[in-house]
Amino acid sequence: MAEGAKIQGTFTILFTDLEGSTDLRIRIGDAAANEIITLHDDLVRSRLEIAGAVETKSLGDGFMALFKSANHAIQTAVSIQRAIEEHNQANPEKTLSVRMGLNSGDVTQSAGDAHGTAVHAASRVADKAQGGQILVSKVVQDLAGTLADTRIVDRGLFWLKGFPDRWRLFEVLWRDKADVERVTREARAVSAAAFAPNAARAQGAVVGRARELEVLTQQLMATPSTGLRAVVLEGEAGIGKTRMLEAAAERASEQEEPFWVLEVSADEELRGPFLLFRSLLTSSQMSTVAREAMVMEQLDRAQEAISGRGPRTEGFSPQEQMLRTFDEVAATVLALTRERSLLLMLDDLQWADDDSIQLIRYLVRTVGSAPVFLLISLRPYSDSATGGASKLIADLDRMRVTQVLRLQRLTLRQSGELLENLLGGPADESTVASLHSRSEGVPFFLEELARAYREAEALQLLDGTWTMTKLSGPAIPTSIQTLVERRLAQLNPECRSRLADAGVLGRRFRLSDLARVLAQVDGGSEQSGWQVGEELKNAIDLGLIVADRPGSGFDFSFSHDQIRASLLAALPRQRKRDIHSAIADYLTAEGGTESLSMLAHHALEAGDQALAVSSGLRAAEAAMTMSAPEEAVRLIDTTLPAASDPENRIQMLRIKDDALAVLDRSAERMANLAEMTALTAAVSSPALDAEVRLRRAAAARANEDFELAAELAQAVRTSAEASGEKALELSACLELGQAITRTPIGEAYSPLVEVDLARAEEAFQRALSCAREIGARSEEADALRELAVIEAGRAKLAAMGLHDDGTSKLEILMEAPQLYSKTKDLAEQAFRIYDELGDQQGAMSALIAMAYAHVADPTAQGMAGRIEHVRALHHSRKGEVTESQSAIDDARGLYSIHTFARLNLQPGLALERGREAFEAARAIGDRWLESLAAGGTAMTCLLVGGGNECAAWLDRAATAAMAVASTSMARRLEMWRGAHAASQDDVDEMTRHYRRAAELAGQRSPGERGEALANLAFEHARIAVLNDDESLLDSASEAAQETLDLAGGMRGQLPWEALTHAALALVAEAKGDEATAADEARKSLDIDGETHLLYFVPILWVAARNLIASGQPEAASLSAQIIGGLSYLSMSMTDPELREKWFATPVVHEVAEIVGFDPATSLAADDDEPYLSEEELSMLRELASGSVAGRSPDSPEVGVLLAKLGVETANEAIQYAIKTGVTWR
Amino acid sequence: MAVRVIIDRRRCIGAGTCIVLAPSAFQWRKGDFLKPELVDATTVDEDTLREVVAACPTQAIVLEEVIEAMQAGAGG
Repeated sequence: MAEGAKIQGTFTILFTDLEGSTDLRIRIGDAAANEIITLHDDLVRSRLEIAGAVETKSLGDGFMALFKSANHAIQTAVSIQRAIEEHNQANPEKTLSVRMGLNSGDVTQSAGDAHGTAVHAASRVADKAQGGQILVSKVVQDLAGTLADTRIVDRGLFWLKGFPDRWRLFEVLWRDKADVERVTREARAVSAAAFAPNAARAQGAVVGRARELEVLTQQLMATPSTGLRAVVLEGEAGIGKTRMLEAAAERASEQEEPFWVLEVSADEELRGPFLLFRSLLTSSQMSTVAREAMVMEQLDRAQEAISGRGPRTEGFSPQEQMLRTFDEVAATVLALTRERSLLLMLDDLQWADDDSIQLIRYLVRTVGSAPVFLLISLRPYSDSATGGASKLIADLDRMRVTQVLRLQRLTLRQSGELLENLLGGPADESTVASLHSRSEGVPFFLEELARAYREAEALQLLDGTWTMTKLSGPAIPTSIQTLVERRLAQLNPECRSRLADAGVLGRRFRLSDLARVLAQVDGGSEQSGWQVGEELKNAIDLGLIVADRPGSGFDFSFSHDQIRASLLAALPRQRKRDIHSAIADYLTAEGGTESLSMLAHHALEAGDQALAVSSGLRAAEAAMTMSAPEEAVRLIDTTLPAASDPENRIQMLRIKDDALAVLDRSAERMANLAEMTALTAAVSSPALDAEVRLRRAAAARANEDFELAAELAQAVRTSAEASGEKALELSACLELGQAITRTPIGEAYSPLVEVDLARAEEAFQRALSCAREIGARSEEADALRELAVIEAGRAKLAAMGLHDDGTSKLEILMEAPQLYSKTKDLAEQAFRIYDELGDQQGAMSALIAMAYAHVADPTAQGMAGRIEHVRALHHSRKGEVTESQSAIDDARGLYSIHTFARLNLQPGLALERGREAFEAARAIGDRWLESLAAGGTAMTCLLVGGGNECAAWLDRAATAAMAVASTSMARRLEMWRGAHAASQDDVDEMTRHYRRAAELAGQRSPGERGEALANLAFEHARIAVLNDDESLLDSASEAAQETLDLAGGMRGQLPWEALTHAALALVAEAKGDEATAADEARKSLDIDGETHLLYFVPILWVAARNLIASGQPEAASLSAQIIGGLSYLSMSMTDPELREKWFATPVVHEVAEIVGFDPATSLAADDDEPYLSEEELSMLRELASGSVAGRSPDSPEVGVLLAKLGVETANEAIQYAIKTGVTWR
Repeated sequence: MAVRVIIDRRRCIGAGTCIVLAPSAFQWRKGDFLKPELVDATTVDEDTLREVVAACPTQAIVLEEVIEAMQAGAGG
């Protein structure tokens, strides 16, 4: 409850009640009941707080809240019910059910409690509701007016306890029709799954996994509304993971709104770059889905990217190229989910290639809000070498979207169920017990046992029950292996040998491949696929192999891995090698880069070391081209031991170094390079020696060992200088420069202060002359660009010097064009070269360096414009790499510019970008950002006196905040509402909101608490002074004191501490204590507020009143400074209407009056710029935000624009935009 | 889940947004020109830190989630 606030008047009263709370403790015990009650409290309270209920009171198992508007109260009730429903869907094991009742009428408050007949009746209305229901009285229904997306229906007349007449009650239908249908349908689906008599059959004979299936189904059904969900099925071989996957697929397609279903399994034998994803993207299942979803074009792009066939973007680093590949796949997934939810099943993930696992990790981070259900099966303790699968699961766990289901062995009862299902009738107790104990509850083993006993007639049907006969039958098999052996023994010898040959091909195989291999190994003419198929008929009949999934590209797969393992174990070594050799020959003849990994594998297995090395090398090179560095590392690791030739070994280590660099594994790089150094000594080649040193320097730099990096680069440079090798000297100088600046080329916007600029400059200068001597244009541009950044560092140092000498920041800003002239010149030179070479990345980095030079340049009007350019360039660049993320980046980009503009008093830009950020956040469903953008826009409206617009934006902020419902969001809303109330001079409301904001910040966030109390103190003092209201002085002083206590415990320059001193100055002013007022005003100015423009204006106002108007010694100099500041601001506010409004706000108006500043006469127009039409401005804006290459400079419109600007190319036009900042005006 | 704040000073262009939004958590770095440093991230709400990240024009600030076991050693 707000302290000091007294409630009296007409309100709408909302009662909520947690259904069944009274017997909750009895039913589920204290601990579980407490958890449910806390959950309920958090959920309901946060929404009431955000909704801005006038009063909220906890009633133990429910709440009472008062609202000023009936409509608002109903909307809040609806939002709470929806939040509960969402919670229930996501947490089926902790569901809540809350009933609600609303009534309107007079309320009085005494002793902290609300009273009145209306309150009593509201509570009775709630009593009539069921869980999940909202009932309202007639008066509420009348007052509510129109409600968006909810309907109110008459429920008839009710007796309310304690009231003489019957009341007409209405129900608020808060679920729309579709919602209601969905809920009913889901409920039906769950019960059907659990109780249908033929459930076992429908689930592909998944028996004894009712709980796991239920979890799967729940997660599946939640996916469309909650976004990414994942279930990991973990369990040993034969435990039934694959069957669960099949069951999930069936469930997904049975949904009323069916899922797209995609499935892919990893294979222990098969290897290749992105093999898992290439199999997925090229499967016929995928093309069917893509065709139906009409995303074929996107799929093509993804397929091209992942097989390395796509167009490579000039200037992309290997890392960026890899990210781009990942992103094409993510974009495909996102495109699919626009139509339907997606079930993506990854079977046997422990065998997946690591690049694919990295891709899944990227996918998980990128598509988090899309309805994707990821179902992974995995064997425990069998992760890949780099632990990729475990990292993926840890990622999912951190995002709290995953559930790990460990498939346990069957219990005795479950074994009985499975047997009944397999045999088509019940088995007697001792038979179940015996088979269960022999199989140890492993389903696959149990099935095999049942089959073996059945075939040996050791299981017989007696009186409708399967019983084990003890009289006859084979000796009891003791292991799966014996069982499998026994089945294999039933094969005729020819078939068995064919099947073993097929096993060498892999777990899944094609008959045509087998025929071809056999022809080579055994001689003779090649049989047709169907002839070989005939030979395998016996195995098919015995169920040892089964037809593979249609569209997989394979004909058959082994029904269990154990079968293949047994066959291979018995196959003579030479035969195995011959088959591998035949496969290698076949793959060599086929050619193509995609099968190189397989070729290397078979060559190794065939013992053909030369082929293994040559194909391994080519495969690794191909993997690098395909952005699959993990595969490259794996290939080198497996084939390096076979390489004896130093040249080959060096080339292998070189590729591995490149791969590790992409993967950013610098420590491993150093180890790999140590091996390379040793080899270098053996071949004694100075060129190689230099190369290895430079590689080590780069690795050391990545490892943050800059000293070592510089030392290595310097050594190479010295020897290159001596031998006159310019190209090598150039590389060494560039490496040295990067080691000194501790930054890769093109990545810094300004140098670190600890960098030795002279040393770095010397290295890059030398690189520049070498590059010019040998005509290395790209490196010339690199050196120029880095020199520009170094010059920016110099300019900053000079500015720091001026600052230390007491030059004001404004004067420093005026000096900036001189200070930054060298930076601009160098960056422009670099830009021209990059542009000529078509290197977009380089051009962007040069533009950013150039833009940085303009940040401090006030003469070009508007720092925010510069920031906007930097941001736009940065994003267009990022957008090229990760398109799927660009909508999110755009929204954040707009918000960041809005914030910068708002904090730096650029209301025009802040309003425009604020609105855009709000829309963009809505479009991507980011309610948090939506609320922040709306709140920021509301505060911007206040800057220019727009109280009504502010209120409208606050409503938007509150609506979005409902969906977020966090205490911090509630606190922000209170701060915004406080500021709005203060602007209306509404003391009560303002006090209530700021107090509540302080309460919500609590002791845990003293920074936010201080900010709230400082605002409270200042506004009380301001209103006290302006309205001669002495009653507010005490509360202002009290709040100020608490604020200063809080500030005392914190470091940093706290603008709200300055605001507090300003408040104390006003308090002293009101009391006529001129000396204290001046003193506090000085304290307030002492806290550097120049970078806190938003706070600086009220502080200046207080200073103007108490230092200038009262004729203190510093009056004249302060006055001059303020005039300078106001001129600067009026220059940067480019919208004349907003500028006028800002100067008309009371505080600003008074400051200007005191110092004698007339905004009307100081607004000089800039005549130097050509007049551009709206269309031309927007064209220029487009060009500047990255579509550099996309627009043809030949089009007439662009031609006219370029002519007006007096430039020749589109890129020059962008330069112009950067220089002048016209694009955002 | 605790978070760690990472500032990439090379990417920072000195817009100062972080310092205005969370002045008790960030301050101008002494001896450096218009570059922030972390003072005490625990003085503000984690949500405020997220806002700071979203509002940085060059994405020079990153929040890294610190897993529970490491929390004790996490500085800010």
